[in-house]
Amino acid sequence: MPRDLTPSTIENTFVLKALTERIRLDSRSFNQLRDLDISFSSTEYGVVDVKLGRTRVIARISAEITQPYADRPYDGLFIIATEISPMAAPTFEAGRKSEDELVISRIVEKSIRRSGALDTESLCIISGEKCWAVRADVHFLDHDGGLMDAACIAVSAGLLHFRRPDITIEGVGSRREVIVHPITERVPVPLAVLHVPVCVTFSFFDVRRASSAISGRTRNDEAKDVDDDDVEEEDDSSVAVLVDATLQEELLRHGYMSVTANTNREICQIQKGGDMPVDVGVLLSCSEAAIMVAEKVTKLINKRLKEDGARRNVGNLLVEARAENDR
Amino acid sequence: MTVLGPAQRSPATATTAFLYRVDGSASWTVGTAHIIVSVSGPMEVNKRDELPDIATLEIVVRPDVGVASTREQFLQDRIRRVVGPVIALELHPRTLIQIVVQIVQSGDTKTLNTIALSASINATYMALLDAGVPVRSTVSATSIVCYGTSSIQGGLTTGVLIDPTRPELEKIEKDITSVHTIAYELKGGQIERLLLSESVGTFTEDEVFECYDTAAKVCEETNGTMREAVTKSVQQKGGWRD
Repeated sequence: MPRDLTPSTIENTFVLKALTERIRLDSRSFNQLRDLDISFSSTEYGVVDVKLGRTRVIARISAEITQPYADRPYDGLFIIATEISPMAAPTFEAGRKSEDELVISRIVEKSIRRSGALDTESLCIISGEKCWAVRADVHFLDHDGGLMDAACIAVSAGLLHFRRPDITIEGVGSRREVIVHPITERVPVPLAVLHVPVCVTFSFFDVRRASSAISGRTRNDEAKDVDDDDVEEEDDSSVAVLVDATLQEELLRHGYMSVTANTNREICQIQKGGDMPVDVGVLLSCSEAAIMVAEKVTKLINKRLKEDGARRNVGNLLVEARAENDR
Repeated sequence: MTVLGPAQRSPATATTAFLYRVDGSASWTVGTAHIIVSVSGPMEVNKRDELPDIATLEIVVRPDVGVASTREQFLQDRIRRVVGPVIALELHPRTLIQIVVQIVQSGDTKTLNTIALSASINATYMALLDAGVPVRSTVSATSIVCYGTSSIQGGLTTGVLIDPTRPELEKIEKDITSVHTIAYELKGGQIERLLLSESVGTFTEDEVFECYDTAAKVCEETNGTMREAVTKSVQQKGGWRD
């Protein structure tokens, strides 16, 4: 297992210098997402392939019937598995959780599961006895930064695309029986998805520190300058805020913040990392930007879902045959 | 001589070199199975895994749903037995060649474990080629499912499915008599020797020999598919002049 990649000093100064001139190496603007591509499996429900630039993630949603937890008899189970294999990058070791992986799984968990994107009460079949256990397996295929953003989009899209088999309950009292109707017999049922969380990661670069490093001056000189000026100028240009960083930018950044938002303009989760403090103003503008991105991404997910639906629903049979009521 | 019924086969498609962070990658789709394999190496190896005279071969099989279980361990062991002898490990001593097999859709039913294995072997070989890992010869594998349905008249209709899709398998699941996963080593597009013969069920000697013959034909065809995919990827990389 090779060691993690560390960018050279030349690379570091080059990227930072470019950022002080408001240029990113891939010629994107600071608040521009990489090309996002979402595709669904043609054969199965709930299999999504998300490509965010060179980052690629496949999410797979599955459901089976189990017993609910004794203390939550009315709730179904929902698990998100985010294990990173060496396929994403050889620096990840198989079967061992790295620190990055922990952060990613926590953010995805907070964004989707704890924000209540999936209504777990709707997964209950017979209280205290039987419920659906929905499982989201996230496979990271290629790592070029923004793994959590891609994972979050993939799981959200997967939950919307997934269909579980229809069931009926027969009998009364203790002799109740659950009959599962295969997908070929009855039109399968979508999950109760309450909102579509989209995670956006902002990377912060301390441009002032960077420019002093480039010009060869120490931090003390910089501090002296500030004293001379008497009033410290905290304009926007001292912090460069980048949306959807590539791996190189991720390795060089001074701090980051992941914001999960949805189209209802709700912030589901904020996680701030790195050793760089940022202003309240930056936090607010990031939240606003996250909502904009969420709207754009949700629009794309819905467009792709519609295309996939049209392809499957030949002759309008799925609509005619379904037993479910419109919400 | 035909002991088994008529054969029916689903076509396979392959693509390579679509992942950026690893040295080689390939995807193999046959029937409803879809496997993605990545290969990294030769690269730095952990001290405790280092071998003084040959490269260490690490194979990781990741399931489509849930965590790795005995099924994945089984696949890993069989893939190692097939590709292990083919890779020229002695050319890169004290290094690591890492193969990650990601099952995206296994294509098998709950009780079977054959399509995923044969597709994984084919995908692994393609990924090894893309990574530029030195190999001695070509490998290709196939799955053969034999079934027999007794009709109301008492007659027995038998048939063979080669690399079937999951709906096809589900339709005949109760009538499956035997399942064979067969891998051949090929040189110059011709079969050279048998590398893997994994059979489950009841079958006669004649039947299994016929399966070997069928598999040999299929593996030669599969080899053609692989050749096309490699040619295409080399052309795309721009290192090819007609």
